[in-house]
Parts: sequence; structure tokens; C-alpha cells
Amino acid sequence: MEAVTFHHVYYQYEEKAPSVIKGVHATLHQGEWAAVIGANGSGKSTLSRLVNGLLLPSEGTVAVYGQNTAASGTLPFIRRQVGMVFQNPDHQFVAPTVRDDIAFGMENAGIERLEMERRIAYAASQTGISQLLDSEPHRLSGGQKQRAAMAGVLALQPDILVLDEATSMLDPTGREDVMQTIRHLHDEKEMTILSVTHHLHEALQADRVWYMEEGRLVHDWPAEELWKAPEKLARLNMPLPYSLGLIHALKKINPSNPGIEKIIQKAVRK
Amino acid sequence: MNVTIQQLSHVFMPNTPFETKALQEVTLAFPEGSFSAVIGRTGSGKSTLVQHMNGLLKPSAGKLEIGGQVIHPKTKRKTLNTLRRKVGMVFQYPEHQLFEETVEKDILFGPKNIGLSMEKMKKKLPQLLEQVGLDESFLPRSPFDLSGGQMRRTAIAGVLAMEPELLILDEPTAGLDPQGQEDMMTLFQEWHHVHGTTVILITHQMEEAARLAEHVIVMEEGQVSMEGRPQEIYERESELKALDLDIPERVRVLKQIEEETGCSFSSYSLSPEEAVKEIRQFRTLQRTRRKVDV
Repeated sequence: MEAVTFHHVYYQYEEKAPSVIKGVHATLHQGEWAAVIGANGSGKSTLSRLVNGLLLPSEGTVAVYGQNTAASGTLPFIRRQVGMVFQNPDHQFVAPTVRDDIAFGMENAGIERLEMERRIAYAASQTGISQLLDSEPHRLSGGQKQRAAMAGVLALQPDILVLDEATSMLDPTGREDVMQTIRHLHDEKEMTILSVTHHLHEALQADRVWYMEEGRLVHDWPAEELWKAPEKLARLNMPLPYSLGLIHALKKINPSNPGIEKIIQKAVRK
Repeated sequence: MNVTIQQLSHVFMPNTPFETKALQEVTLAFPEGSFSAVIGRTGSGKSTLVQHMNGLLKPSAGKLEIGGQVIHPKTKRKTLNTLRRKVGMVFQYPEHQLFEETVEKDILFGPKNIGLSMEKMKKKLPQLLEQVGLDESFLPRSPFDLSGGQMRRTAIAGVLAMEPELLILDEPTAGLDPQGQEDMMTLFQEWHHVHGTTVILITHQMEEAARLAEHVIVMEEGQVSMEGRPQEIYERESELKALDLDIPERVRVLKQIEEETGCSFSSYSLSPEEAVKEIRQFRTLQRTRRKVDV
């Protein structure tokens, strides 16, 4: 099933301003995880904001489960289906405790008390923050904050999760904790995920890697393909993760050396 | 510029219920022309430590000697001002401190303040801009119309323009994308190389520390918990993990290959090309040995 479709989408922030999204045409299927990469200003964040109707296309259509985000009356449905997590964890809290914060979105959605309790417990366990429910959000570490923000989103039971550079302000430990949560939601809960990231090694954990350049979606690769052909990423002038750099270096010296490649693949995929 | 620190302690809000021992009897040396990295998690005391080096803080006990100037608990605050001429500090998110109308005025603000000749400074500007990855076309522009990366370069140029003898960098790559981080690291590496400035880099990224620094200091709870060459620090993997510090991907992968194959790399700072070369050499050696055995 098609979860999100971009149909020849253009977007410009103001009339007469240059388009920041130029003719994006792509589909994200149910249960798939696509990671969007690209330089600053390539349009990755804008693309993520088009999914839940935070932005509406200037041309073309974006649809969530077949519902056009720009059609009248579809937004409540779309906002229920698509949960968003943003870059700065400090900008996402409104309540004095983590528990109240997770409840906030549900209160707005008119969910009854008992059901709320059940969902808070569930969302907290999925994100590994059950021990932190009574903490004050501002006392948490960056990674904990981001997972608490994710719990708030999960409590609303979306099918699709959009993460806009959710790890970029975190330290390495916090980043890994958030990535582990994303992997869990994808692998175990079969959520559909669109994650925008600067970090190639994070992008390579997804099913597909979307590469954006000047508003265009230039490449849509299966991540698996990039492990086998790192030269495709090396050409883009992005620093390669060391593991991929090793495979790339090997291929440059000797394109077919299955013995060594196997050793490296085994080591880097652990 | 030589920096030596002896038995330095710093207590915030002493004799109150909020008393915090931020530094406890720290003894360290940063030799002239060295490039050192101070790592540790938030609250480990690394920022408090460097704030002593440009006179923002005075020790509660112990002393520091910075380029011949001794600072101890009784040192008069006024005399610390001279330190700021010699010590350049790039704070986290330095672009937040831009305030002038043009890039030129912003870069020259510091040098003017400490009384450097404006005529000489203006002559040096083109070269300085080039070193930070900008050019003269930026000079008349407002710093607030620049991209995040360009703003940061402007702010850093303002610090470098004072030609500090000691350069302290507090998480200079935070918030930049990977290419921006790479550019920034190359900039400092080259500046260190060309000017021989003593550099102290504060970071929580082991990868950066490993790539640039010849000496790594790990802080924890106000004390020095590890010290040595990057290589020596990596070896203590479980201790690092306990401190929430990451082993760089490079080291993790190379160690993994060593475990799988039994080969042994000459160093963990090898480039991918060098590492592949060593794996191939090892394999050839293995094959020859096997043949001899048969």
C-alpha cells in the first residue's frame, strides 16, 4: 500500500520566490523507511513538512493513504496518520512532567482518561523512557528529550513517523539511543518512516536513501545497493562513514576481491 | 605559549548549600605549539577548566601559569585582562555573538579593542578571509544575511585576527553538517600548522579529538580521568563507554577486522586506503605461509 505519495511536487515559500522543491515524484510504501539526505538548503526539511500538510505544495500533490493534503477536510485525518519529530528537543515541550507532556496531545484529541494512561505506558515503553515519566523535561539529556518527544507523538498512534533531523543536536550516545528507537519502530512495529538526516551512517540503516540536490529528488536508492556500490555516494562530495570508505577504498584498488570485501562487510555491518 | 596547571581546584558558590566542586586538584601541561583535546560529558568540568585560561575564572586553590603569567586565588582580577590579548577563545555557537553592521567591522572589533594597528589589520584581512574560507566580497555585507556556516567563519575570523598565542576552541563544529564540520576541522588544523599556535580543543566527539590532537585529556567529575595519545586512550574502551564517550567508528571497525582475521593494524588512525593496503599485505603473507606449511 502507498503510504505517502509525492506527485510532481513543487514548493516555493513566497510567490515569485524560487522553488525550493522542484518536481519531486516519489512514493513511500506502507512499512518502508526512507532516509532523506542532501546538503543544507537542498530542500530536505521542506519535503518533510509537506507530508503532514504543515506546508502545502505550490504545484502537484502530496497524498497520505490517497488523501490529498491540500483537499478541504483531509487535514484532521492526515495529522492523525502522520506524527512529526523536530530537530530541537527543547522546542517540543509544554508540560511540567514528561507524563503530562505525552498526555497533552491526547487531551487535545479528546481521548478519555483510562485510554490515555494505557497509551502513555505503551509509548514510554516503546521509546525506553518508562523510568522518566515523572521527570521534568528540561532535566533530561538531549537523547532522552528526543525520545520523550517521540513518545508524545506515538501516543497519538500515527502510522507514519516523520523525523526532521531529530538527531542532529544530540551527542553520540543520545543519537544512538534515538536511532535504536527508530529501528525498533520500523523493524518491530512496522511503522512507515521518513527521516531527514545529515548523517550518512544513519541514512544507511533505512530501507531506502533519497538524495536531494537543489530541491530535486535526484536519487532513490535501496540502502543495500549503497553498501555494494559506495562510489555512488563518494561522487556526491559527502564525507563517507569510515566503514563505507573502507569498501570504497578496496574497490578502487581492486574492484573484485570478494575475500577481503567479505571481511570488511562482516566487520562494518556489526 | 606554555600552559601549566598545578593542583587547580574551582568551587562554585563556596560555603552555601549550592556549593559545587567543579574542578578538583587538576594538574596538566600544554606545551608550546601542541594541539590537545579535552573531552568529557556535559558537567565534567572541561569548560570550567578552559575558562581559567583566558581569565574568566580564578582558581579557588592551586595555580596556573600561562605564558609566564602566574594566576592563583589571590591574583587581582584586573591583571587577568592582559590574558585576553594572548588567548583567543572560540565559544560554542560563536555566530551568536556577531553584532556589527558589516563583516569587516565585526572581524576588526576585537583587534581594535586590544589596540592593534588598524592599518596593518586591513592589509592582513584578505589572507585571513581566505584562511577561514571566505573572500573580500563578504566584507561590506551584514553578518546577519549570511548562512550559518558563513556566520561562524566570520566569528572565528574575528578571534583569529587577534593572532592569539593560545587558541581555545569550545565545540567549534557543534550544529554544523558533516561537510561543514570537516571544513572547520581542516581550517584549525591548517592554522595550527602554519602559525604554530598552541591549541586546546574541547569536544565530545572522539573522532575529532583523534584526528587533530596529539594529546587527549578525558575529564570526569572535575578530575582528569585519562590522559595520553589518542591511540592509548582508545585502548581503554570499557572505561570510555562508562563515561558515555563513543569509540570512533574508525577504531571500532578496525578492531572488528582485527578480531575477525587476526591481523594487526599499525595504527587506528589509518585512512581507509591505508587500512585496505594493510589488510591486503596481511592476506598475502597468510597465503605465502599456508603454501610453505603445505
